[in-house]
Amino acid sequence: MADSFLIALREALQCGLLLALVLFFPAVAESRRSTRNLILGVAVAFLAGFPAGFFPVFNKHLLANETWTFWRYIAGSIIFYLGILFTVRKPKPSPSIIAAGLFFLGVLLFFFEARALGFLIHDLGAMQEKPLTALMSGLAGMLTGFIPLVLFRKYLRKLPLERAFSLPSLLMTIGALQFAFGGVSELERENIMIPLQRGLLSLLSQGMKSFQSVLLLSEHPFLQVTGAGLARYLSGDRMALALTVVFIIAPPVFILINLFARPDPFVRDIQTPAHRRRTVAFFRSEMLYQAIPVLTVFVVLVVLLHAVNISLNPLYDPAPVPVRDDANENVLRIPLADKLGDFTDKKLRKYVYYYGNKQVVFLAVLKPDGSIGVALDECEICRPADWNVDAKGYAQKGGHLICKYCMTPIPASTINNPGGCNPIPVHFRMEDNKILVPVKELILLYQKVQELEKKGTHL
Amino acid sequence: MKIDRFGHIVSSWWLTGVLFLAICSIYLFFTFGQDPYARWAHFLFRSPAGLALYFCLIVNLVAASFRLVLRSLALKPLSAEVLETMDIRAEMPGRRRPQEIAAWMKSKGFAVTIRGNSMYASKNKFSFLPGTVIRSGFIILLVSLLVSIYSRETRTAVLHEGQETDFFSTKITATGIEATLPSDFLQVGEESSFQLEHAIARLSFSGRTFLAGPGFPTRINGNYYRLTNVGYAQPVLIKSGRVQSRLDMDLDILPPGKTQIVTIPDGNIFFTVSLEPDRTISKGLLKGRQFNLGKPFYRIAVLKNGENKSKPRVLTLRQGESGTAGNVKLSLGKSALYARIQAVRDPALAWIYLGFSVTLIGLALMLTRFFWYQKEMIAVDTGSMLTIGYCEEFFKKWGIQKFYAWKDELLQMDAEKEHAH
Repeated sequence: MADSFLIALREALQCGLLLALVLFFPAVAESRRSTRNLILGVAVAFLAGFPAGFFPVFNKHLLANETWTFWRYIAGSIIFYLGILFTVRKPKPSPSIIAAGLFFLGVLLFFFEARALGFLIHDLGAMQEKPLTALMSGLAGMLTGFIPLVLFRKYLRKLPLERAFSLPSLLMTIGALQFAFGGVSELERENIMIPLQRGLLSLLSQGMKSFQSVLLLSEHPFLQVTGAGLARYLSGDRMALALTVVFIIAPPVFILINLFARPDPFVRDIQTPAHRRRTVAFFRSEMLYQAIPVLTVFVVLVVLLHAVNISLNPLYDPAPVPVRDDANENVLRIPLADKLGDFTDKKLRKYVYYYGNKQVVFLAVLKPDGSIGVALDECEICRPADWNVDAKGYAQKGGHLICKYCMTPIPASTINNPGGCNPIPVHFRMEDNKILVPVKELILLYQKVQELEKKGTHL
Repeated sequence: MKIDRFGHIVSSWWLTGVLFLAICSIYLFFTFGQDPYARWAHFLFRSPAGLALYFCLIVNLVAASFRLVLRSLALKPLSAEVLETMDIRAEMPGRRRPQEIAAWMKSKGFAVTIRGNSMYASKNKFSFLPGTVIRSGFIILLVSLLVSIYSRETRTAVLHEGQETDFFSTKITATGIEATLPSDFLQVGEESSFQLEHAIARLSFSGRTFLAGPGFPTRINGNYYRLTNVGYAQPVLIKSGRVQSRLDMDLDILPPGKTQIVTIPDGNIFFTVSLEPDRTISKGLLKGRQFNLGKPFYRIAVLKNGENKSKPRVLTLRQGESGTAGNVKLSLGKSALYARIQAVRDPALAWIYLGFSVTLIGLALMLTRFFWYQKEMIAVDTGSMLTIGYCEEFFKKWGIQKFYAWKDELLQMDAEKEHAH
């Protein structure tokens, strides 16, 4: 039951850190009502979120995990971007609006994590057939996580938060830290950069395609269309990455510019030179103090981006998207167009089917002739060593798939053809603009590949 | 008063932000389902709520542009209240007149107007132009896009050389179809992408010939024409038992590897046709398998309904050759190219291009905004004191520093004058 304890402890510590930043911000700390509302918000988040995830009776009727994650991203983004809003407009709300705002902030600080924790703790308890023990250790972990906040409140109160943070930079820091902490990682492994980039790529590629069609310049598989290269570039993954960077970096850069664009204090009227120097020095040190959290956020976000994909790898290698089978028909249904994009963008797509503790990764791509190719993300020939798992499978470069191990280019038109360097074809059929992959056949093929590999002959 | 407030809201950037946010949120909402982009576009252009949002955006952008242009060109009231809105203000001691400040500002390159006891000086008054150009382009694009969606008509037809087709009551004749088909296409390796550098259809209308390619559409008699595909037009004579029939196949089998199924209307036979590579033999050795696309070499699998499809009878034939598969004899005639032509009637297409071009020009012009921004100075003589206010559109911090330097310069001049007296 150490797992439940440690996971809950980690989440509570993270929440405690965010809570401390707000709680000991002078404008909040000075008002008892504000403090009370903020803590009340966190408590409500726990009381509403934890049971929603923990009790299957609620969980069954509520949203799927992916949808909760989506809303967590939205909540984080709103907090993150409020920084810009409050830089442009300096609001002077009434005390009741401040109190309500702090209550909601408290809710957003812990609601999604509490729900995910409830879900995970219930799962851990069910797996080990000790639900009560898991619950108790989870709750104990959570309480322990908040103890430092209570114990060190005297010292935390002395931190010069009023000098380091303005309201915009405080909100932006909280948003950025929420991105960095990334929810309960055991359930929601994805960093916000991945879905953001994927979503932007889908929007860009489909938007560009329809704009090309409006201009009567639709792309063609082999005829040279004016501006097709530029359109491909503008709607490609690099542009999506650039926009992701802009989305993530815009608030800190904006706040930083705003900070450094403040006019210097007017000191010519001050008679005493020492007094003049002191005024200028105070102004500069204030600026420096306020820049520290913004620059820290900047670094955190850059690390976060780097951790995902900001490498200069020319190969397009998307993260596999989990797929589940249709319980009645025992087939995987993959729509040709959904929120992950449209197959007509000719981008490689990878999917993972969780079979026991195995991960069956397969790929799908639209071939130049307009048909679909589906294959296992495994080469018939190349078998990288166990330590080199990153070199397993295929990536895309232009109209070719590239074996990541031997870098052999394979024309997309030959996907589904067995042999050579080609990926191992998977049996599928098309129905209502959906790719239907029979699960049984997929598993059999996967097992066959694994068994043969063990013998050292591999197909 | 109420109209003023309404106008202010309609033309505000806050409304623009809210509308954009609403449009983005709706897209996010659709991402929960399948095919979000198509559903979002349908909502935006076809549903009343979406259209309302779209119209609001257009109205807001038009109003915002007017507001900015009027604000930049209108005469500013020169009062103490306006002075309060400037970035920096200072009271000048002594008996300096606004006219003196005006002369001094002229020397700094400002355009100056004197009104009574006040002075207004400005520089880069027309710096609103890049933004206005970009918004104008965007507005034209938004409006024409909407018109295009509701008025566009599209026809597509396959044309062979010499064939006449009626598009929107315009008789178009294809007088020639050209494509540079490689004679040595090798479908191996990373560089093997199949791209035709030149493909064009010569279309004739009332004695004039127009070229329609896969690039920008060609305008003929008010409609737009574009080449959207080329392929092989291959006549074939089929003899199955005693029945003989002729078929003109339009084969969409490019790039090599693509297969087309050809069904015969009055028979139970069908073919699958694809391109077959030639074997390149050099010094008696097989060097490779290349496609000679100028003289297509077909791989034709002949199948009969009800037969085992896994074992078709396969023929490999060139134009002018014959072959027999079972009791089916195929004789290929001379092959040519066909062109698939898309014809579009769209009154807004030219406007879409115009809007797009103007937006691009506006974007390029926006670069000038780094150094082309408005600077304003107001001096108001209240009788006992001359108050000066100064503001710059951007880089305000440096504007304020500049103002202090000017103020020092003026005081210095005053001191020198007094000394001379």
